[in-house]
Amino acid sequence: MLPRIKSVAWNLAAVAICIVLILPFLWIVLESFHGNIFGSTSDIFRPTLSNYRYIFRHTQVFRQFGNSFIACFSAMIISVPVTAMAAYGYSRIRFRGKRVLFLGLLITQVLPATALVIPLYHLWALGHLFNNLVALGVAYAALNMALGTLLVKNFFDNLPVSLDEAAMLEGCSRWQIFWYVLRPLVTPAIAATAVFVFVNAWQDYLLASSLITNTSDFTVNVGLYAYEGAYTTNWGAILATAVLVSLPSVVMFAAAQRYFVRVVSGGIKG
Amino acid sequence: MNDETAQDGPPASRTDAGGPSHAPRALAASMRTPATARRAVRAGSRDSQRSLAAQRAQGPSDRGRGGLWSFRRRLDRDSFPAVAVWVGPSYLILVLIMAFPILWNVIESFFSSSYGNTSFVGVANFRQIFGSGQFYSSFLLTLYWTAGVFIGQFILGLLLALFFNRRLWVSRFIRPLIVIPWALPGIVSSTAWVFLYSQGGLIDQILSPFFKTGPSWLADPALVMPAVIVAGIWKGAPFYFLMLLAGLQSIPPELQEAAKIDGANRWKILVRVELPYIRNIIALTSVLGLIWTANYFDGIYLMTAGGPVNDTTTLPIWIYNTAFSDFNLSEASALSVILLVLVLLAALPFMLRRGENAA
Repeated sequence: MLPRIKSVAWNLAAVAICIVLILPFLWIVLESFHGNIFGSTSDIFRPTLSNYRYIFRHTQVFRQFGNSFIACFSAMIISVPVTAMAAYGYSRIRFRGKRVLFLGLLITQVLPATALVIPLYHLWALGHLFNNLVALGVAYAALNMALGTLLVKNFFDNLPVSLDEAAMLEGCSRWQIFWYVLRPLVTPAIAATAVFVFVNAWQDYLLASSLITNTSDFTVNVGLYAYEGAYTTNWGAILATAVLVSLPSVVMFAAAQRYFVRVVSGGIKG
Repeated sequence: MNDETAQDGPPASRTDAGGPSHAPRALAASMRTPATARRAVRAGSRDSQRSLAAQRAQGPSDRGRGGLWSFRRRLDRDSFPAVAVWVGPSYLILVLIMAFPILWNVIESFFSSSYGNTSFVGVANFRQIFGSGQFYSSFLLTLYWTAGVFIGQFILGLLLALFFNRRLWVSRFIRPLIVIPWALPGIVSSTAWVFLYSQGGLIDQILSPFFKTGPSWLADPALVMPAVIVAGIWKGAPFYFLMLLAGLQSIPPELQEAAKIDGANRWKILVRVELPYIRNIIALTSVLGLIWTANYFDGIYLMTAGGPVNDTTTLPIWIYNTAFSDFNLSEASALSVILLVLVLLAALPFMLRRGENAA
């Protein structure tokens, strides 16, 4: 009996810790369903959708969601094949300069977007790329190149080379080995790459705010900040938008979080 | 095996494949010894081209047969054009989006443009930056912010990891919830914290027994930095939690049991057994965490925009404000160069070591 009580206590403690930890987020979720935010706290038990109804009628949130999706999906569609192929190259082929190229890739993982934003601003001016959501997606893909390559390479490294050899003896070309033999085995890594690229792109404010200047091309993040600047006290609409903005990345990250450590570490063991 | 060593081209690729520093000596020895010894030395040095599992799967029997070896050679290495197909596209993007703009930016930092006229000014932009007091105060603020957030995140993440490093049936529901702060876009976490810090907000309500009227957290020069640091700790702690938990779970339980039998208490086990065992993952997590924190933009800017006055203007925020609210793109370019050099200097030693382990 005693161990059982102990186990219940640990589980309850875990739940309590979790609630305290996510309280700031929980709080804005609750308040976003709250009709009059600075009214009485007991109102919070009578949730209403009025804030959500308001933002769909009076703000550009729909359009901005569309813009964000365009940029994030472009990033995803570009990085998935490119990182999978690069990962195969780094994992399976020996070539001159591999070490240097790989080190260069690792360095891009620590290159801060804050130091890149001005260089990108120059490039965008040079190429007339401002307000181009697909170009923004390419920038996201570049910033996430190391992440995806490291993750997929880690999966390739864990597949025995004898697979490749067997396929080659059967007469497969390198492409066929990649596509028919190895790719199905690294699909989880590729899916996780897609998710993390999307989530990282979805979280970005910095690049979107400096490379997008038209209000009609704003992504949700930039749109929300602009809205906060214009309507400081309209907390109902602000919080409802914030909750909507958080949904895609929270859901996708939660689904893929078990791959997160491998993404970051690139397979370094403790 | 014999012909493998003979055909295997420059030994350089062998030397750097092995992680440990004794690899070159082992290689030198292998060149003087007979084939069997070579095989032993070779098997002993870690070949990161293939994982251990892969090596085991190959076994010794399929080695040294000419026919298969020629196949393996074709698999193993390739000429430049063939490699370019695989690695090329990713490098094309990296060069286009990162290398080229950074070089272009370095050039821009030696020019000054005003009213459409661009002129070469040498190091004037840099002199301007280092001459102003703002650089030093921003630099110190960046250190303040980074140290505060790093220490808080590390301790909170470690405590959480230690707590959840046990079998709990709620864990599977709670883990995805605990990582929510990390998954939130910066704008959302900033909005949440601005809301919490607002006059009469949740924090004022919680602290109401201690204050008659809560201080204006984000407008008070003395309070604003601690306030954004708390928000930063909250946002990033799940990162340390996930990484350290993965590390802790990789420790074989025998180690803790042995320490317990030897009479070590919980603290001793943590400091003498567990933390040393996961030092690689701690190092990686800390280096990445420090760099990401020092360069973190959203969490501060979206709460304070660098204010009040310049009390939260860390270097990244200074760059942004210089470019997009002072519209001084030349000075912002020079600042970007400085920040990039600082980051690379801080990260390069670690990255070099890591590249050797991971490539």
